[in-house]
Amino acid sequence: MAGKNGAGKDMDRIRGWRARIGYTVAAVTTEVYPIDWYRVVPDGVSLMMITLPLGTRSKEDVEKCYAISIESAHTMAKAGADLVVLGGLPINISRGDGTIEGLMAELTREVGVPVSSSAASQVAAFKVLGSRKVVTVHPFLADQNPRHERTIRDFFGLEPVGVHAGGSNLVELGKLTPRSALDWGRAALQAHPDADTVYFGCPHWTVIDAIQPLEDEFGVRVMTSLQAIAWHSIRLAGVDDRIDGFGRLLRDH
Amino acid sequence: MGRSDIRNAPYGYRARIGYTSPPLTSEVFPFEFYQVVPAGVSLVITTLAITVRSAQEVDRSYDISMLAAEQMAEAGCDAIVLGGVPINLAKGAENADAMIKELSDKLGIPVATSASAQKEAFRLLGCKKLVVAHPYKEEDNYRFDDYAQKFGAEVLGTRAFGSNFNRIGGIPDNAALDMGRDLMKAHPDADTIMFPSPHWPVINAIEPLEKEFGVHVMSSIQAILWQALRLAGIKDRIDGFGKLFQEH
Repeated sequence: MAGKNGAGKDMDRIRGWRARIGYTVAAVTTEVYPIDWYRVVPDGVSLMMITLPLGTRSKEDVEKCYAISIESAHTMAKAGADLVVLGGLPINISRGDGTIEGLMAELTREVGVPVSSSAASQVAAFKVLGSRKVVTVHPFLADQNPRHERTIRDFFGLEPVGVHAGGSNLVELGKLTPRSALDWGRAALQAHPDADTVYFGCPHWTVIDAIQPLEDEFGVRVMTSLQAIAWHSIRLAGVDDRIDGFGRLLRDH
Repeated sequence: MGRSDIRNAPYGYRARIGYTSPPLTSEVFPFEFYQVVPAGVSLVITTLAITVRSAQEVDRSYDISMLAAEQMAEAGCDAIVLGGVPINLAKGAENADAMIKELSDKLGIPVATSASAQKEAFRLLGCKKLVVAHPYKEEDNYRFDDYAQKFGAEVLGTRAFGSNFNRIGGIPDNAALDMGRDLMKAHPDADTIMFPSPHWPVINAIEPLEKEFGVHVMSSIQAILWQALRLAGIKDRIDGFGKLFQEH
């Protein structure tokens, strides 16, 4: 973010003078996402958000949010977004036909600005990182582990070598500390040393400070939802800056 | 940040502020929030349903605000501000204070509204003769006369940037500063420049205008953040964004 009192800013510019990225937040409230977003993206890239009424992740919830996401993409395009990203992996893949690229291309034509998604961002990130064996870390209860394993295997087409559940819940995500992500990432990699990639699912808990330490310490790739979304968004918007401090994805690709 | 000094506290380790943001899309508010608040204060935000400010959207947004406030309290917010003066006053200005008290009692945490925050800021600053610079079209000018009356002040002059409601995130940084200067030249007897709406960029215009013209500047975002911080127990005096944060 700009310095206090906008020191050094060009006052003729709008906030998102390089790119304005629309994002549908798959939660009723959001706290961590905008903070981590502005820590990662270069100055001049702004975030335009719409929160969605995703409650218990029931099938009805997910379907309702899918419909609102599409409507929101139109709203953000009309508001001046250069690119719209539909958040929420479960929402993105709720159509179940495995053609996320096709759906995004169709929405791009319909909405009139490029449309991407959390799912498409993560597919692209895994691809450029060359990930094959993935250990997943998520902040929720262990009963979510099978869903994460299925997503890695069936949606991303990679080998799930393990899952570490943090044991928290949606309501408590804003209270998690960066230390939690680092500790859970270490535990996951110690339990599954054959992993070449540690994947942190969900962009609504703070993970970004754990990325570089884990890559340095274990020599693995770290891919997080927020990092992948931010990286894919800015590249699609034509912002090609190499960014240090948040892993090789933002630095090397 | 090095490996050993990784933070072991959440972002909102001093206070977590809930805010219901009226426009269906939110862009400027979170950005300016973090320009102003001290480290350790975080924003928990829900977007509402306003795109053109129809009566139906306002009613729907009022209902979403109430639900979002419950979720924010459940998530552990320390204070909540319900955004949008038209939404705040949707059940009648005479009922607005009762609604705040009832909700605060129910949730067990302090609650304010954009309207109540601005009313209190007006009172503390002693604002009486206003000039108003707003981001919307001229046809909206009358609304601010009405607000000013409710806040116990009169409007000497108004400038409209001319934006549609859904495009105000694309207004450049210098617009508020330029409009404020024009208004003060046309109405030198004004004691206050008011910038309604916290969803266009105004935060960098406050201090320059207060220094240049010796007036008060009262913007919605400044009043909302000031009230939220104080309700959450954060008493820091903050420099660079006007006398409201410095002196109250």
